[in-house]
Amino acid sequence: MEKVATQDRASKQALSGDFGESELFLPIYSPDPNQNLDLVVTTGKSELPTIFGQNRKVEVRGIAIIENQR
Amino acid sequence: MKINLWHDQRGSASVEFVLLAIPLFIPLFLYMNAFSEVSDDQERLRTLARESVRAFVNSANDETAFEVARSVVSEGGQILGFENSDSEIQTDISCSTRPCISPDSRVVITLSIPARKVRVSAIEYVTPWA
Repeated sequence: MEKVATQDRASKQALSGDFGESELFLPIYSPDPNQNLDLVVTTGKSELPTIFGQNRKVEVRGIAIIENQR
Repeated sequence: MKINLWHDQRGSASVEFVLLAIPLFIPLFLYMNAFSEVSDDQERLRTLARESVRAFVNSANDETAFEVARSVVSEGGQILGFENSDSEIQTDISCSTRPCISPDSRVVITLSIPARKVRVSAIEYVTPWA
């Protein structure tokens, strides 16, 4: 579920342009100098149920294309 | 006092559980693990396909479009956990018209990982004003 929520956040942010501080932006290479595309990368973390006293965490990522942000 | 082990029923349920349940549960766990991995791969590939086809149709011409789609698969694949996305993921792009970046052209990007038999597609249309 965390993965779906994280991807959902990336897609919503790509459409709305309303980004959080923790989001990363990765420029996508394009031969066209007038086309500037970035990948917004959202990260989600959650803890797995404790088994035998071990606390384990998972980290998932979501991506979405954004245009003309530079 | 004599104990007749052959007729004593104590502990028989445990023995039956070990003999019957373990051979049933181990394949079930293996199957669930494999199913989980394939679903995870499909989910990640679906995201990659959707975003790469979006980047494709937003390009000005075919040359740029193919390059940008390839970049998204490569960069995005690494972010989503495919270590060798360039060699691991096969990309197939088909268009309803030539050149691909033409008004109302339908673009289908199919990504697959042959080794794991995972294959997904995403469809997008080029804007009518392209």
